[in-house]
Parts: sequence; structure tokens; C-alpha cells
Amino acid sequence: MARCLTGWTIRRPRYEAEFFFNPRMHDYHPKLVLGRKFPPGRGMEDGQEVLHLLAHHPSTASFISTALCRRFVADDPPQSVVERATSTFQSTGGDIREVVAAILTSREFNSPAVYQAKVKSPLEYVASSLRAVGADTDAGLPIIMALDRMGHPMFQYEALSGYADRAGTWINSSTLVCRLNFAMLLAGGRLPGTAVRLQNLPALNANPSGRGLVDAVAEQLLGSPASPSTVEAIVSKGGLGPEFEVAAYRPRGTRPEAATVAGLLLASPEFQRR
Amino acid sequence: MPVTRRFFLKSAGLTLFGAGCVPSFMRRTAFALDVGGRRRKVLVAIFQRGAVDGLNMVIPFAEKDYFSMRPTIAIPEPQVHPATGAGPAAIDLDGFFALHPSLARMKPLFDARQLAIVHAVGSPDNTRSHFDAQDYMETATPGVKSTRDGWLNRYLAAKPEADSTPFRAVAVAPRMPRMLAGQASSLVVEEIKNFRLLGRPDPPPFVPSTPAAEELAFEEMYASSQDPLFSTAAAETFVAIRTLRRVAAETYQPANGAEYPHGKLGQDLQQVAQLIKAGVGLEVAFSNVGGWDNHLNEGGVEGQMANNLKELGDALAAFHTDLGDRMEDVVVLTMSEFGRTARENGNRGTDHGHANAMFVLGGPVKGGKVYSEWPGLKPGELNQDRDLAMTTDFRDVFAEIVVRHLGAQNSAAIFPGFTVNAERFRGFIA
Repeated sequence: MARCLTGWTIRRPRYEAEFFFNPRMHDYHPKLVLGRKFPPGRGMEDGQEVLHLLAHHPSTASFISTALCRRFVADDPPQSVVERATSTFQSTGGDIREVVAAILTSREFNSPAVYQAKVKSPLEYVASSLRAVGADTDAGLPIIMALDRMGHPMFQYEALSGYADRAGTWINSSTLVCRLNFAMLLAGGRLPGTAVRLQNLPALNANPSGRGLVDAVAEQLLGSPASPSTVEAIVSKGGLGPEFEVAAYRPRGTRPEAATVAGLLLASPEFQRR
Repeated sequence: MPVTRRFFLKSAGLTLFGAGCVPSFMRRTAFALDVGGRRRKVLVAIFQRGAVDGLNMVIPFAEKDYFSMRPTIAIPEPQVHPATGAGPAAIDLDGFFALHPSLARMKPLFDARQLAIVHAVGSPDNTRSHFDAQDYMETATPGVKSTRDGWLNRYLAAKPEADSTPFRAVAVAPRMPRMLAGQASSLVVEEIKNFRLLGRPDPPPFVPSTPAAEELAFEEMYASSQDPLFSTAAAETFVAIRTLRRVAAETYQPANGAEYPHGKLGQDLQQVAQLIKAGVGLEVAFSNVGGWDNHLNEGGVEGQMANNLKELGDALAAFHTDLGDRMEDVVVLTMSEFGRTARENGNRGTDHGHANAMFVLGGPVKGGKVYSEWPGLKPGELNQDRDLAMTTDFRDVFAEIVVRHLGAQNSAAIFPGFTVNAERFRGFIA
């Protein structure tokens, strides 16, 4: 395989990204790849043919389709949706848009059994948190360091396979502490380079009562109601003062409370999933 | 009375290590912190990332080719009668091998038979890729890229303990190393005092024994959650946070006059010592130290590698001194993904090689010896005419430690695709 690709290079590597086939670097001898004999004397066609072979290989269809199902459905997606995706890949000659459409319209994807089956990767968690609070960020060092500590130093995975798209890759005691701390720091506006204006959340003007407020903020931040256990935990253990429960809600005066509620919600188990 | 997780979390929330119905491991932790509980056998694994130059770390000075192959970076052979004003030379160990002079603080450990060296250890796979070789060594499956878990994790899974705590395996590192990744849980604690929740925007004054209000809220959220993945991970997390809060409350004072060097390795080993002495149930610790990839200007008696070796030697010696009697149950093992070329290159450095040297330090070690079936450095004796050849598979070194020191019985599960055979053990563990 490597021999087929000899000669595929860049004309001026340190200057611009222009592909160029260098016949002097090519190995013209006969080759055997995936059971197919490649005759001698062929130049760039060797590489083109091997790519064609790989693209049409059934394993390719299955590998890519499985990865996509793992991305959208669950860590171990049901075989039925993998097969559906694979056959779509094969029948459309590898049209990824069609494959993704097949997955997203499938019964398996839309089944309640896989609702929030995936754990967010650190990147997904950080991005969704930033969006949830409407943060203004320069994505600078504090964000990069947070990703690093959560086990996702961007583009630095050592092996070619990339980060495994599975819950076990991301969740352990230490990364969990990082996520919880990130949520609190973000909501409290304590991440340099990232500005959060929680007082602008419409929910804060609406409902004065403790439990109702937590529900309303949850709906706003998380996009769906928080689970009863989460709400209960925040209300009973959040250390929120009595004025939080009773008084009319004034965003400026009660900012620390808002930050605490928001931080706790972003750190909730349900927000770790997608 | 049956102790449910919820009950235990609530009681832990009220009184740290309170009396009453506390699960066995919590009781042991409290007991060990106060009195010294069960003493576990401990393994501290230190990965020297970047491929340390074993031939300059433990010099085979009896090989004359060593000097001709390394005209500028060879370490001068040990001086029998050093002339006044002569610079440092290799420190003789046994008439054949010598230590780099920067490792001077390890010589007394060797003489006291606490330190053994295994030389010409390597991998049956010939890759010269750092990534691949580190992967192969951490998963102990050379040549196989699909192994997801580390060999130390498989050890933990193969030998479950009824009284294990969340601190059974700790990596003092920024992220989980592959060697400890897998089903069995382990903790990543880069710094003991930072393993905590940061709390609300206007934190009340930090009171060591009292958890912040949000901590209770987090704990409740996760304990009462219907999500098994998170509720399990969280249960361990909060035990770890509370325990480490207690450990960090006292400023650590190394014992016996031990002085750790200021670099990262010194700090990491000090934390390992702190955890061992705190009796939190530590069995396997991991740390790594980089900067060994000396393609350029490696230096000889002085230089980049010498500086790194000084930190390594001083840190290991300080750890040994600090632990004192406790070293009876502790083994420290150093390893690196491969060695370096026998000949120096055109840049006064060395390139990726093959076999290497490992240090094994501790009470259970039969020290004062270099264990090696020495292949030699003459032409024809080198691997691919470039490197020190391998005569001991690194898995045999790992296996000897897990079997003879840690007492593992199911070594086949720990080393898939490899037959562990005690007859191949070099015999450095008593």
C-alpha cells in the first residue's frame, strides 16, 4: 500500500500546500494489494487504484458507518442501525450525507432507549456550557487547560485512531472534578477571557420562588427540565440563603445565587449527556 | 445493618470519618490515617518518556567499543586512582557497569542492596516510534495496537481486593496514563491540595474539615441520580475529595532529613510518599518524567541528560530516605519505551534505539547487582547493527514484580498473548 503511494508529495513543502506527483520518487515495480495484482510500470494510477479499492471495500463502509452510529446513537449502537447505515453507504457510493440522514431518521436513533445515551466529550461539554450561558469567550488558555484536564488535549491523541468515542474514555474521578469545577468557574464568571452575563437570563426576572426558579433556569440553560433529583439537591443542599427562596428576584442583587444555581445545573449529571 | 451508598454519603456528609455505620474501606482509611492500618505492598512505576539513553545511564565501561562509538559523549570510565583535578567519571558498580556520575545519590542504595538494575531489557517489537513503543509498553502487548487497557489496570482487575479504596491506584500526572486506563478504577491526582471542588463565587474562608455547601449539593445530585455511570464515578470522587482534604490539611514534612529536588519528579514522588504514609490504601502509583529524547547535544558527564539524571537520582534517593522503614513493602520501577543508538550521531546526541536499562528500588529487591544477559556492543552483537540488543523482555520484569512482589496469581490475564514463566524471571525480587 505504501509503495503504491510513493511519489505522492507536496511540491514546495515549506511554502504552500500544492499536491504534486513526483515520478522520480515512485516505485514502479509490481505490487500486490488486498489480493489485487498491480502491474509494473504504472505511476500515479497505482495510488488512485488503491484508494478506489479501499473506498469500495465492504470493511470501509462498515467501519465508517459504525463510527457514525457510535457518534450519534450510542457507544455500542444496535446492529440494525449499523447495517442500515452500511447499506446506505454502499448503495450511494459513500455519500456521507445520505448515511447520516439514514441514521438520524432511523427508529433506533429516535428511540427513547438511546435518549441522552452518549456522554459528552470534553469539547462537547465545554462548548455546550459556553453556549448555554451565552458566554463571550476568546477560547484562550483557561479553556484549553480545562479541556486538557478533562482528558481531551485537542489534537494531541498519540495514536492514529483518535480519541475513542466512548463514555469510559472521558469519565473518571479526576475528570469529573474538572467538569464540576469548570461549571462553577464558568457560571461565576471566573474564567479569564470568558465573560458571562447571567443577569440577562430572562428566567431570572420571572419566578421568585426557589424551586420554580431552579426549574425555569434549568429549562433555559439545559434546554429541558432538570431531573427532580437534581432540582431537589440544589434546593435543599445548594446553600442558597433564605432570600433566594422568598424575595422577588432582582438580578443584580442576587447574582451570586444565580451563578451558583447555574453552575450546579451545568454540572448536573444530565448535562453531561447528549 | 446494610449500608446503602446513600446512607454512607449522608453520614460522610455530616461527620468526616464519623463513628457509627461506616463502610469497611472508609473505616480502614480513618483507622489507617490515625494509626497505620494494613500495610499494603506498593509498586511505584515511573515512566521516563522520550527514550532514555540507557548506555549513558548505566555505562558498560568494560566494553571498549563504548568509547569509540561515542567520541564526544561517552562517560569517562571509573578512576581507580583519580588524579587531582580530574573531572567526574562513571561510578563503578561491579567492575563491568558503572553509573552516570549525576546518579551519585543512587550509589549508596546500590551498596545497601536496595537498588538493582536490569540491563538490555526491551521489547520484541522493533518499532522506533515513541508513540507506538510507549503504547506497547503501557499495554504490555508489543506489536498490538488494539489493546485498550493498561497492564497495571489489568493487574488491579485480576486481583480485586475486598478492602480496596479509591486510592488503590493513583497516577500523579495531569491525565490518566494508558498504563492505568481500563475497567478498574484509578485516580489521577496531579497535586493533592488541588483535588477539590472550587465552590461558589464568594467562597467562605476555607475550613479544612468542612465541605463547601456546593459540595453537598453536587454529592446529593449525583448520589440520587438515576444515572449509574455517574452515580458510581461520583461516589468514589467524593470519598477521594474528602480524604485528600484531610491529607492536605497537614503540611507534609519529609522524614529522616530527606530533601526532594525541586523539579516535577521530586514533587510527584513526595506526593506518593505522602499518600503511602497517610495510609489511604495506595497500592500502585504512577508518575512520568520527560526530557529524555536527546537527539541533539545529549551531553556526557555534563549537559541536558546529566541534569535530568541528577533530578532522577536525587528524587529516588529522597523518596527512599523519606519512606524509611516503609520501603520494606515498596518497589519503585523505572522504564522507558526503548533505548538509544549505541553510536552517537552527528549532532552529539543519540537516536532511537532498542534495549535499555531499568532501575528497581526497594526493600523487597535483591539489590547491589546488575541483572543482565549482556549481549555486548561489538560489531555483530548489536541489534540491526545500531543498538543494544534485547535479552530480557520487559514483560518478564513486569511479571516478576506483579507475581513476586504484589502477589498476583492470574498473570495470564495481565499479560495477554504472553506466557509468564517464573524460570525467566531475573531474580531481582526476593
